[in-house]
Amino acid sequence: MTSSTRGWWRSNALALGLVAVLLPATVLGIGWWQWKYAYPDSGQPIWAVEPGASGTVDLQGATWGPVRAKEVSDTKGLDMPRNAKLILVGVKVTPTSAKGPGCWSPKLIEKSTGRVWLSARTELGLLWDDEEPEDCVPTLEGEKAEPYELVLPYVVPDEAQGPFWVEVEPLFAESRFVRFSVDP
Amino acid sequence: MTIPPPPPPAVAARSALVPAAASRRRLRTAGIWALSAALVVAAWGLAQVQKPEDASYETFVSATAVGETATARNLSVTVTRVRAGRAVSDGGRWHAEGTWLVVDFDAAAVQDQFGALLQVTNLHLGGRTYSATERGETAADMVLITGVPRHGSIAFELPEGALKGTATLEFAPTYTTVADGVVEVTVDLDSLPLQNEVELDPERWAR
Amino acid sequence: MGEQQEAEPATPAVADAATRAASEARMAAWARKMTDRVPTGWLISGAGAILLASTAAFGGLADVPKPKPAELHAGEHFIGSELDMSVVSAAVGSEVRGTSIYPAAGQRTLVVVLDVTNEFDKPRLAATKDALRGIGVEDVALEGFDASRVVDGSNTTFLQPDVPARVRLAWAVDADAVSVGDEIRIVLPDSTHHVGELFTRGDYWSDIRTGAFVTVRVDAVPAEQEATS
Repeated sequence: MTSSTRGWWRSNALALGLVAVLLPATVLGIGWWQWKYAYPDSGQPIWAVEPGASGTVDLQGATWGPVRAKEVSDTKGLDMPRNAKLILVGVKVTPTSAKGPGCWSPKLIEKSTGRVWLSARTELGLLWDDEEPEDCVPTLEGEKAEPYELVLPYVVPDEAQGPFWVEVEPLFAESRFVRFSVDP
Repeated sequence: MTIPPPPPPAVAARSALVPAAASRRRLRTAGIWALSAALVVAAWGLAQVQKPEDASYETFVSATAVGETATARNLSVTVTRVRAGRAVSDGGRWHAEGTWLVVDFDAAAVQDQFGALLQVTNLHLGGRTYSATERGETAADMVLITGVPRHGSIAFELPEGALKGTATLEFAPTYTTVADGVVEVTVDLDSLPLQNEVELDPERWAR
Repeated sequence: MGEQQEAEPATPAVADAATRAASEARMAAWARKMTDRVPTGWLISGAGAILLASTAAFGGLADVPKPKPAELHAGEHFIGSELDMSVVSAAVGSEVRGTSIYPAAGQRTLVVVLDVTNEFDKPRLAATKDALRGIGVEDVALEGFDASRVVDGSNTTFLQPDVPARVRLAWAVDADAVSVGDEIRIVLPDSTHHVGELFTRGDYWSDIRTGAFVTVRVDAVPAEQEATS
């Protein structure tokens, strides 16, 4: 380095020092912000939380599970189509905070094809029953959240084969959702 | 130090070379012009072949006829029957006069039941687009279940004398059909008898 | 002299390079002379003069005076926002059955019956500012909105192309604003249609303005239509 080059470095030392600090800080800051916008704040279910040995998951102020699933063969009294079967899924929800969690309608997903079903209570001719909730029960003003079980009748085509996933996406869970594996 | 040789031989040599160099230069110039012309023609050809700017927003159409099943990305539809009438009723208390086209169909979602409702039910006829009526109890916005078809009827209220020509029915599971799939079914209205009253099928499982 | 020394072992390549350099220098000099000849100043002022002259030709840059809205009476048709509208009648009552207007204390329900046909080639949403929601009454504040078909009472969501419909519009108004026997001026909207491109695709109606005033006498809502509490 010639003396003029060294002189340039010295006279610009302060600016260069600031760039060395600010440039990575800007990159990291914007990068973190964008990642946050794209992932946890996206409102899309991205990270599945699966149960451990207990069969339950703690997420968003509630304990989800255990889950049971059964293929119901006796569908007398229900309006069932031909070439389809009824899979009844129960998901226990035990709120751990004062207000119960809200959630999107729980989905049944066929692992092999990725096909998604939602419960079809209305189409089966079943009226709304507050003992058999299809969606997460909201906690009213002045009440305390009680445990309940989601009763979800899914109508799937005969050729749909297990194993399935049962996915429940709680509201405001920052892209995390609960996923259980079932094989009715 | 030698005395430099007289210029003439070098000049002569240079001038002797000039015609050859000039002709090679002319050939190169001509070649460059020809290449430029060829590129302009190719650019014109490319512009002719290119799709319009809007092309990336076009829908993917699965076309079919009455009685056949067509599948778009998340919708599979079979139009089972088309009827025309001077009045419609929904089997309940609603009854309406006018010029009506009633379409009975079986529809199901293919991949994902989440948010799958039969939201787009349009009729393209005579340069106009009609949407299925919101009047009465019809299967417009019907719930679609993955893999298990449901049956319903929709009705289109048309202006007088519109029931002629070939019509195209358009079905889609969401309003934004940009770059998504739609099902189109062609119907020949000329061969359709005009009934006095048409009763809509109730919404039920497909048979 | 130096050139002569280099010309001694003159190869055709060097001679070519020299002539090319010379011709390039000539081209550059020619280009500079040509651009110096272009009178940039004259061009700019000339273009400015032409622009001003042309604006004078089409009436200047001031706003084009808007056409005055038409003055109509009940039964006369007006086509605005690609809708053929004709007011049939107007009436005022307390709580009218079939409208979802529930007037508060000190309010009444204003009902206007309108014949409307969509002249556009696609279905139109009825409750938009360029369509039925743009209908108002001069000097009267309207609260709420309801549009139902007279023939079956169904809510009017869409207006199908070329299909005529008789629609009953209802709003809540202050009780002292409109009384039976008053003459009210109903405002019918007009707007300009344009088609969006690319990611703004679709049909838009903008520049919503008053298209016509319809002077109508206000009747009383027939007793059988009033909801008896």
